[in-house]
Amino acid sequence: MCLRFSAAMPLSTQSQADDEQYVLVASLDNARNLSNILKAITFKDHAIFNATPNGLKVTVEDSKCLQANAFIQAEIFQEFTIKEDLVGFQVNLTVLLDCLNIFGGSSVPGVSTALRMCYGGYGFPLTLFLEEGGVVTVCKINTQEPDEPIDFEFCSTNVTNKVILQSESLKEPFSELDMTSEVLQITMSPSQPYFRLSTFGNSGNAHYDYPKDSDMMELFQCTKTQTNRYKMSLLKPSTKALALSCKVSVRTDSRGFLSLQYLVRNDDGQICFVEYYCCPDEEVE
Amino acid sequence: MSQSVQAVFRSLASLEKTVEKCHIELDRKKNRITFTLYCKHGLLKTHNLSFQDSESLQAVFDKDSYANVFRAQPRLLVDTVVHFPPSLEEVTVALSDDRMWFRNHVDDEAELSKAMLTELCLASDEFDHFAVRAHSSVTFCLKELRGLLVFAESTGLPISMYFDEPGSPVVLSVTDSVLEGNFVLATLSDDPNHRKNNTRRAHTPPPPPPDDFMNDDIDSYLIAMDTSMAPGPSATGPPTPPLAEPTYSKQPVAASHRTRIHSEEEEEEEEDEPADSDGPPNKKFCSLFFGSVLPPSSQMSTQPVKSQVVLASDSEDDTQAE
Repeated sequence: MCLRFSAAMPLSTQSQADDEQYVLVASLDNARNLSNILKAITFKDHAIFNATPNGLKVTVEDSKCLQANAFIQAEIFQEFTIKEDLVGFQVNLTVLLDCLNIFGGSSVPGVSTALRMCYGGYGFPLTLFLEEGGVVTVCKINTQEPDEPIDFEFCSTNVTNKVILQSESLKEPFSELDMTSEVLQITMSPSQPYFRLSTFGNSGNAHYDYPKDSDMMELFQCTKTQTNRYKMSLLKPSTKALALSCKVSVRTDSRGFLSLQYLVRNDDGQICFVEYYCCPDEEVE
Repeated sequence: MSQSVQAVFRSLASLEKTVEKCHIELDRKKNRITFTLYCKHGLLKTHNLSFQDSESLQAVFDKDSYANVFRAQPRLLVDTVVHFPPSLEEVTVALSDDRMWFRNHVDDEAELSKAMLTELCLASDEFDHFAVRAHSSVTFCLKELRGLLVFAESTGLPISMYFDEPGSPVVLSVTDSVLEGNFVLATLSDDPNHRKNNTRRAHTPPPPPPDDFMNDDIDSYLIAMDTSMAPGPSATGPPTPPLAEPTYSKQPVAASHRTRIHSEEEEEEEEDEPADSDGPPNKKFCSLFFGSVLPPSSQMSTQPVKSQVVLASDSEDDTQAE
């Protein structure tokens, strides 16, 4: 990665000719609309970027058991130009976040970092033009060939149980989960206890029960009683996404695979999505 | 097990906002205690904690037979202990008829010369109740005291303190209609204060004589503050080995001041008991350090007005100290 600082060169004066070389150009008036959502999936260093005319999808995986995706639709960007059907690359997500926050990241009202993200294609670095207060920084981040994201084969037709909860009700339990428990057990059932999170720690176990008629429960569609355990270490990072979100959908399929989908509103009130897929640790009937 | 229980009640702020009811159930057969928190929006939190039966220590004490009983608002003690370094393990509390001293306890006599010594004096009128039948000096763990003060302050209830002789536990009690908490702290059985080569502590009652701090830098500070005072040596009071380090203390310095005045104004008559005149002045002195002016106590009123002028350098009517 290399950095170049220059002054008084607004992004808009980038010559059109430069753009010809890029297969992907995405601009944001407020870089936080990208950096905040990326923070929700930063539990590993590397991220796979996949851009389509629909927008940007950023994927982070852990031990082939957990996958997190952040979706930023094309409409979120002030400019989103893509010359191919699919543009993919892999970058160091930590470095990318550091660059996006290069102006300090402090939220002074009215002041934001503008971003112009450009990618020349295979073999080219990811170029970020960041501007705040008339100062422009150019960052070039090396890219790698993207790994193929795992396909968890999670399809809606296979979903056995689904609930949608307001994130508010889950935030506190998630943040106080007993970390001495190796697993987080999720029970979903058409009958009591309906939706239950359980931990089994050193001093005992804990259960968080959400009744189906709770006013925090926006949707309750459980067809069969299922209890699955997931490694706590894999799911704990999802707390970041939960913290950003206003609603979360929890779905399990017949194999016990877990899908968590978070609805996130960015600084400008626009909606983005973050989802987590997790394999069950073991099946407990 | 207390840590596990703490985890159940971790965030007090959110508990207050979200928990409507808490149900506690003990299952002796399974050695389990269950805390069920009924929260807003129908959320139910159940914590099943396993426990082991263990022998609990039963403290043997009879606080009602104790010689010395006090009651104070927790704030008084909180404001007292805050002056001691957080790392301090033990504190010594000494009593006289109308005073209570808190001093840091230094284990090793050899360390005395290197240690910073801190001493605070509380007067009886700062307490809701102050009854001393035996002048004693007990040493106990400060850390425990700090802990229970946090609890007591949160309840807003007055603390009752029961002191007896060194070796007997001190009992601090917090009571209201729903709870009675007795905090029983062990004390050092052979109070090393009695061994110290310091005349003021060697005998039961006496509060330290004022001349302890004659050589303190703080004296010259006080002198500088009140230029109407001419500094002079004090001839009164028993000579005591000066403490090696300058010591911050509310009471003896002004007492030495007063003694100095006495020596200079030899025509003064001391009506009080020597113990009293040697005794530290009370709140009046505090006011010198802390800038507020408090009405003179009955003790002070027996003093010549001149000494009052010196001590209350800021606002009393001027009468020349000569």
